[in-house]
Amino acid sequence: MDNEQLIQSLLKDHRPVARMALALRLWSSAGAGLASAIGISVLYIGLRPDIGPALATFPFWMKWIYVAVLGLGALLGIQSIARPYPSTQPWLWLLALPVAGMAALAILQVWRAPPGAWPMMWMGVSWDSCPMTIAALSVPIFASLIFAFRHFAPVRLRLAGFLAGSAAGGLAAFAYALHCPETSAVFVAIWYSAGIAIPAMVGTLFGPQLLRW
Amino acid sequence: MASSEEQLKILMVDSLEGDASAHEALLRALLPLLRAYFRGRLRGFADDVDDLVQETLMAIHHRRTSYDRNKPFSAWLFSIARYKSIDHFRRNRRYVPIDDMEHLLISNGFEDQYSARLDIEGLMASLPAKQARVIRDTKIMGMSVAETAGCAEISESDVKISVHRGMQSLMRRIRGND
Repeated sequence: MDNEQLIQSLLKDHRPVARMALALRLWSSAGAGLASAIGISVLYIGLRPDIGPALATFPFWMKWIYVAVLGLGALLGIQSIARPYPSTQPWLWLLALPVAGMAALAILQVWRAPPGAWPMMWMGVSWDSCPMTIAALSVPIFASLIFAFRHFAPVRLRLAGFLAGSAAGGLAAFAYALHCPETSAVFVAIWYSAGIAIPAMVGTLFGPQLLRW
Repeated sequence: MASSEEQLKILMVDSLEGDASAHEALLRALLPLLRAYFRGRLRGFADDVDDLVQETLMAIHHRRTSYDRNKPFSAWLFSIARYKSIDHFRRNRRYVPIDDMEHLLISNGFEDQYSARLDIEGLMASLPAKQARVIRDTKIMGMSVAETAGCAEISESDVKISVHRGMQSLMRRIRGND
């Protein structure tokens, strides 16, 4: 194909691009992914039976706030590395803050509880299904985010993959919390974090292949 | 041929607003720029240059959402071109021979020229208007002190003092003391 043909073919699908187009694309993809994860969570995994009263309790909001902060932080990170400028983003380390906060809360809780209560605190009743369910729920969100990247121009693909995986994991955990009956901070700090770490690792490993352009 | 930062940026913004003729003009104006850029980076691989120019043009078109209208156009353009050339080398596992170093430097100079212009514009904007004008006339346009004084309708000693003060504050700014 010569340059002339190329230019003509590119001109055929020329459309206006809104000022906020990048942010709109990113957040609408994240929203669509989250909606499908919540749909799967409600329809196939089932709401926790006591969801009404649970909404008024601290553990429920602790989970939601923890994973929402992680997910939103990762999305903001994507927004800043979606443009091709070579830049370091030292503030991305702030993503470690919610994890550290959650760990501190867990340690505080263990410290104040009698040793006999510890096994129940960290294993709960669902430790064996929690991380894998979160990882499974993250699949539609991750796919939707990777799809949005077709319009972006990241130059740090591994970092972009890590952020997309973390965002997908955080939002998936947000949907999973509608089902999960656990109440201890230790449980959330360990198993929710593990569930989010799975897509984050997948994204880090495969980011360069998935996001290459 | 539209190829200065201002002209390219105007075309890009118009194109994003939906102006198809601006888009066409932009793509055409980028062809020689990209060719020069890749030719400098990949000496001796003419076919690769053509492929890379086309690939980059496509990336610029399909990923134009990633351009931030508040930022210079050339920085975005060359970031994409740089990514494409790195990607190209990585894919082909081809190393740049050392005797091409000189050409690499020249091609980087080409890119630097663009960014340097932007830097200068930024620095000039930080000076008082009179100092910026006399520095532009004497140091960049190469006019004599007398000519500058005539144009700006100020005295020659005023020109000399303004140039001196302006250069000093530019120097301070570049050193980061300001």
